[in-house]
Amino acid sequence: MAAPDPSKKVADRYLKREVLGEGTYGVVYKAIDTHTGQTVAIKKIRLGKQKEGVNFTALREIKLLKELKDPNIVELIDAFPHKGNLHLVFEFMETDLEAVIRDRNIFLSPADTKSYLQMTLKGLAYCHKKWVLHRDMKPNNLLIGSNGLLKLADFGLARMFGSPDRRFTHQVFARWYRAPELLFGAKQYGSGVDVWALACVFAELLLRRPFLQGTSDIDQLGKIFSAFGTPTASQWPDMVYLPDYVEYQYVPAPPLRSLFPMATDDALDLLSKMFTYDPKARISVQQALEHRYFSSAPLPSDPDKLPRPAPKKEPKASDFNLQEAPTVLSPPRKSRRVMPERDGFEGNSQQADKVDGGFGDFRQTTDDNSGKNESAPMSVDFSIFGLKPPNRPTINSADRTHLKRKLDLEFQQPE
Amino acid sequence: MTPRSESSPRQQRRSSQRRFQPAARPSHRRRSTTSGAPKAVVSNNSATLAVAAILLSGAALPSLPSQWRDASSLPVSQPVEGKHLLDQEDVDMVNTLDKEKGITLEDFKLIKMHMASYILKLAQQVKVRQRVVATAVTYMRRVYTKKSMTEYDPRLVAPTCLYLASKAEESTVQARLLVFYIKKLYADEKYRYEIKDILEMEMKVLEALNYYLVVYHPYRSLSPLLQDAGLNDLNMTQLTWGLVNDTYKMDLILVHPPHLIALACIYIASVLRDKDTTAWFEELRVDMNVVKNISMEILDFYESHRMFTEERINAALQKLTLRP
Repeated sequence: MAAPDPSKKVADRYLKREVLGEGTYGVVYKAIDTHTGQTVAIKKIRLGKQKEGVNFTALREIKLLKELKDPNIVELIDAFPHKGNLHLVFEFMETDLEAVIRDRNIFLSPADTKSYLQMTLKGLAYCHKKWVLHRDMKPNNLLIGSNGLLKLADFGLARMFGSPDRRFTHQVFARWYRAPELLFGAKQYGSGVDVWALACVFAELLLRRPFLQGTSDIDQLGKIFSAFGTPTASQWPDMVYLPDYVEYQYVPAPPLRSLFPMATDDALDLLSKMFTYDPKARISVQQALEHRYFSSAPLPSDPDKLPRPAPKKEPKASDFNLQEAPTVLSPPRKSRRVMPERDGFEGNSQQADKVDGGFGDFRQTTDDNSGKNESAPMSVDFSIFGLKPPNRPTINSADRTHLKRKLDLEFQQPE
Repeated sequence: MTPRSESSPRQQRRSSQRRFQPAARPSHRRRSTTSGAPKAVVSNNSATLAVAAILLSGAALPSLPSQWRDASSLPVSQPVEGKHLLDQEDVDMVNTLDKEKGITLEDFKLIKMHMASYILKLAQQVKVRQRVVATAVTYMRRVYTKKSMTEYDPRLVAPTCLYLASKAEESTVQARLLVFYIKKLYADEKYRYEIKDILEMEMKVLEALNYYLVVYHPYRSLSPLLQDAGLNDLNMTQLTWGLVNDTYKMDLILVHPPHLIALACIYIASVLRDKDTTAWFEELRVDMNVVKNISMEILDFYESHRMFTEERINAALQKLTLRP
């Protein structure tokens, strides 16, 4: 393929460093921008063999990130073709919120939790203001830079919303973060789905473990109902009209306080408003930002002072060995990302166990602290699984075929 | 910003059907034949052409109140980034390489118009909604503010823009399907391109667009504006919608904010249908001179379109293939 001259120049601009991770649609490199001296993460978008050009998910991300410029949203700095592949240049991010939550050496003060939540809300408020739904909020997609600033990343599932009567797929978000209306199959939904997911993140920050760990969609609803009680018609009048609505046996709600014994009253009040069943009654991101939780003491920590996982020592270029695969930066059990790509067509059977890709991956590796998890107050005893918590659910295979149809991604049919 | 959810139920139904908006009523087509206009190349979705031709011959535009106020707080969505709007002279700049081949500004416009029709024809075959067409045409026009037709063959750029727009607007069309319909539509060798050509060009188009893929169109403001003016009956909706469709035969979308284009179309339609909208326009805080100028541009186009014959387009395209 004829690479036009300018692309060469652009490629020369960036000094390639080590591989940060292998995603489903490409490799992420660390690089230095020779013009600015800035460290960046370059994502090489592999052009599939399916003869469908620039990856659809990547295109979505490019389209939206070109419009979304905010301190709390990861910046797409540049894009260029090189040797027939599209390269996306992002600001380099040190770690992500999941690593923070999981790191048992980190103590999160109430002010720290407040700060992380506030930054997430700000980024999301900007998205919603620009009529973009993120649809994949989870700690792993909330990246943290060296200055402590948290930024929303991975817009591969995001879409513009607000057009009337436009039907969307309900197969979005990792299951643990999916709002009840999505689990009941709603096709027309709004910004409330992001709020619910963010509430799950909030709860995860408070508990230091994922809050509602359903093993299936049905189980997920069960977990939700056992936490907040089975919704009644008066709480959520439209519920019974949802496509996949099934009646659940009534369980009363335990007091919220019993689930979050350490949280302040303000925190619980905000949390309960974000976890409101009826999406119409659920608090908006903007309202959440104005909640007294953020104005009452303790005030949110300065991002600079937030605790972060100890940065791994910089690997020297000399001892960087591809054979030893330092590329597996995120532990394999993180293979839970929503991946609409179907690498199976390439006959690569190990794809299934591959580490997650997507844009969450342009961060430095953090210590694999999975071994430390055993001391954590987990809801399940993982000892029988060899001390490892079960994989976070990715969208399962049944979901994925569903996705193919519903996500308007049909273009990648094998033949 | 106003919510985007403010369209009439009819509008909603239409958008969900993923169909093209039918243009004006058949009766207008009948009138167009009696008006004796030569068969225009622009045929699809342009029944309004004839309507406007009638307008041109007889109806006079109402005189405008002199005290039009500034465009400051129009209650419709504004384009997020005004930097995408260009000056007319930048849009009308014929690339040096094309000039050397003898392409005039007239040829340049003619080819772009023809390619807009080509995109529409292809889109009708693969059945995508009007919005995808509008975005694709906008991409194509943006490309030629930066690139030459000599290097970027319009006959490849047009289907590539449709391909890219279908992805960007979340209604993906397979490249092989496009290639199939290209062959079906044009027997001419020069239109023949394969999947790999489209995919190669996709990357170049992305670069030429500087990766900006979101386009705001007049369609969105049309419905709330008509409703606000009390003109949201089927007839007016269809007429204005058709007029907006026709604006993509011109470069308006590169030069003017979409809501002003929508207003110009409402303005023309209300004059045509004898609706008194003077008071309503007066209440809007928009620069009515701009709206009026856009309206005149649209009417000028309707007047001259009958001269855009197949032969002239082919002659213009022929120049591109000449070796200098």
